[in-house]
Amino acid sequence: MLWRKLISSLILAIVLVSVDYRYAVVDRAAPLVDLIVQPIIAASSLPQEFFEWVYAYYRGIEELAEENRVLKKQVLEDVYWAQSIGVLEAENRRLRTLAQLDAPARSERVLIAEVTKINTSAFRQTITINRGTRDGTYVGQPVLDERGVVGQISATSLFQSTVLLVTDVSHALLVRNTRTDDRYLAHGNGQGLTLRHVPRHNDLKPGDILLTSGLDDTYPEQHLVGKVTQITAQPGRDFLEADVQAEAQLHRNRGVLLVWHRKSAEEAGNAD
Amino acid sequence: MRIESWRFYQVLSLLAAVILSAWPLPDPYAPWQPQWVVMTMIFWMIAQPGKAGFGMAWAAGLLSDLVAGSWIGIHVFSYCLIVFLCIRFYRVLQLSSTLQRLFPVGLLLVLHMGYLQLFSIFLSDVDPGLLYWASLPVSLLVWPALHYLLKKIPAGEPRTV
Repeated sequence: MLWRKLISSLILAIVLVSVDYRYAVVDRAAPLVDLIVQPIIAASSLPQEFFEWVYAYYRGIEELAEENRVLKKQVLEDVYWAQSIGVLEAENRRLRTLAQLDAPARSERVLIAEVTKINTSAFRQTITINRGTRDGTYVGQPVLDERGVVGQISATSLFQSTVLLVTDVSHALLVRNTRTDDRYLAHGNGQGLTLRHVPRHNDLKPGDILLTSGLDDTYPEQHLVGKVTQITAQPGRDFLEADVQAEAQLHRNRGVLLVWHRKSAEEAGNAD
Repeated sequence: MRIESWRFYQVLSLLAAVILSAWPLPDPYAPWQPQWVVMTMIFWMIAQPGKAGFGMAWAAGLLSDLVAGSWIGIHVFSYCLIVFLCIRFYRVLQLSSTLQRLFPVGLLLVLHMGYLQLFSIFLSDVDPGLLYWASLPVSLLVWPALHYLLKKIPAGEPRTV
């Protein structure tokens, strides 16, 4: 009797796993799943929120003043860069008109979101943010932070969205090498990213910096993705494999940037 | 219909365990998260042998799958196996003291974690690495305290068979 219960349970579990693996049942039923999972996640982040609140309350004035000073300096630096970018952009547009190229797709709107949960199990690398369809988020929306590309929104409910990180195994994006202008497909591998199938004679070196290429319709162009750390040639294989370290602070973000990117936003609009 | 009080506490404690395991630890500490759900299940298998069983494994497994974002059924499989072993070898669990129980509990935890690691390697092609096992010693450290706490609740007192 006990054995029969065990065997039938195990078989049923295996059937469930294979069905979900093949047809992504849970992903399709995301709004329903959110209904069950969100309260649990909200409850689990309560203690942390409480401690943060206490910490913020008792933090010394000097510390805040110091932070304020650092931030002011940062703003000054940023303003300097922002000004030079404005000039460069105008120049770029002029040159592109001369060369009769389309103007690059520009991101129209950005919104800061707070990270409410970080989930870095081996199965899935996601973060949850406190913005949802109420704020106009959509599935496939690019998410950045102050350093680089974080990922894209994979599920969105009214008040919260799940962001699939670029390091997730089911994620891939097209990147461009800043030094050579070569394009690669960067797959997530759970810890960082991997460029598979790099031709043997390709000019790729450790330390090369990869940006989004703008060729996929998800990510805006020219955003930092990561740095090549290691290139491995396995004997007997025709291709090289390169490890890339993601530049965004994927696991310790407090705030991220949601971008309404023209191309992907239009596509989301068409899909409705 | 009257809900038995032990059933109420069982559901409550398992829910608390799931919530605890979803607690967002900062990244370097994430692997140190103890295996709350497995340990709570083992406790109930000791405290209420013959009553807690596969139903509990299924409920806890499905919930863990949803919260962990793994393919549904993965945790169910492991939990069913653990429940089965607890029923099959309940004498070993029942007749030993809290400290002696560390050994079988540790074995069950190793089974659970090893199984999850295998699945992660096969299905998603990701090796979680050695640090993944940091959860095991932490769990064993937490076990006596968890056992003590759960025994405090009215229905947690082990029945004599």
